[in-house]
Amino acid sequence: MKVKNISKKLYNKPFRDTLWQVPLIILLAFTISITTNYLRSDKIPLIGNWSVDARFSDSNGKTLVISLEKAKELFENNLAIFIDARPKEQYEQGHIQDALSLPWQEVDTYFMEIAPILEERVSNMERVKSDNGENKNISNAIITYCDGESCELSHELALFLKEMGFNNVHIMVNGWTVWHEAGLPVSVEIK
Amino acid sequence: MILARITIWITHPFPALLIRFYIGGIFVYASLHKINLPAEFSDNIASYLLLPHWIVNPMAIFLPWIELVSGVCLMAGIRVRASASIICGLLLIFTIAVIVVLIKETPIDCGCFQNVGDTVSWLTVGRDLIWLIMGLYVYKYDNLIHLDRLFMIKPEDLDKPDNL
Repeated sequence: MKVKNISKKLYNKPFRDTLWQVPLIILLAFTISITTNYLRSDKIPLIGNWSVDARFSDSNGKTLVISLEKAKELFENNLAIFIDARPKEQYEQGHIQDALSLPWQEVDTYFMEIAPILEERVSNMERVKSDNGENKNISNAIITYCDGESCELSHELALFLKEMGFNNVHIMVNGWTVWHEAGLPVSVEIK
Repeated sequence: MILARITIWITHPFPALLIRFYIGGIFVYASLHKINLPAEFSDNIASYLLLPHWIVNPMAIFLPWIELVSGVCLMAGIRVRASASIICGLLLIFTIAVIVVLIKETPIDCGCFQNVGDTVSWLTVGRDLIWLIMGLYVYKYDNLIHLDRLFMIKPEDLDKPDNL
């Protein structure tokens, strides 16, 4: 009779049952996940490096990030080529002054169009650099940018350009926002 | 009269059973791609910019498995209320995360199913809220085909002398 009463009580306490079953299911999933990750060949480390420098790095782990101040300095010395990795429509609405448009999502379409212009600009930049003897410590750069701190378009584009043989490729993280918020020269669509 | 019929239909365990399979199936499906590609999923979590760096990878390892385990339990009828509670909790967290990202105007992929090409929008929020309501409905009204009941003493059996 006592067992009957206890069991009926248990049946009538669904909320209380849930309270102890939830942690058990979580513990089960946790154990399986940790074990599986430990055993699999493509495991990920338990603690990853998600700093901006680590996220926007090349295949050797070297960071590609360039600061706004450095980008501004290169811009003022005509030693930087900016490449906008955002979609064409966003580029047309507004972009860093003299930036080229190479939307990452359509890179196959636009790269052949852009490549000769980019090469010409790189050689012009090399000439500026060699003429400018007093600033030998400043190196020229190709700087890709998009918009938003988590935007990956500029990173993908930078890696692609490096693969295509371009040197000194850098990324300005959240480039469009930080550049125009700093009041630096931009070209905007006039409506 | 009509209202009474609607109430009978809504509170009937059969629609709750169908919704239980639907929600469980969604969670199982959502987990598979993430389990397969943990590095991509961790990228996705990091892009939300909501969590401290040290917790991104543990979440990428753990989240798909809690989705899978609770989804399977829900479909199979094992600890249905507990599984539905976990799923509702997850949906609540996902909804809040997406709302914060939308308010901050961070242009990122949802990472809900496939890791790329599913940008977050207010439709994502609406979808998650509908699923959340479905989860609560399952918690409240589901009562059919529970695998775990095979191993439990039923309340009606308690009256039999063997069980006393």
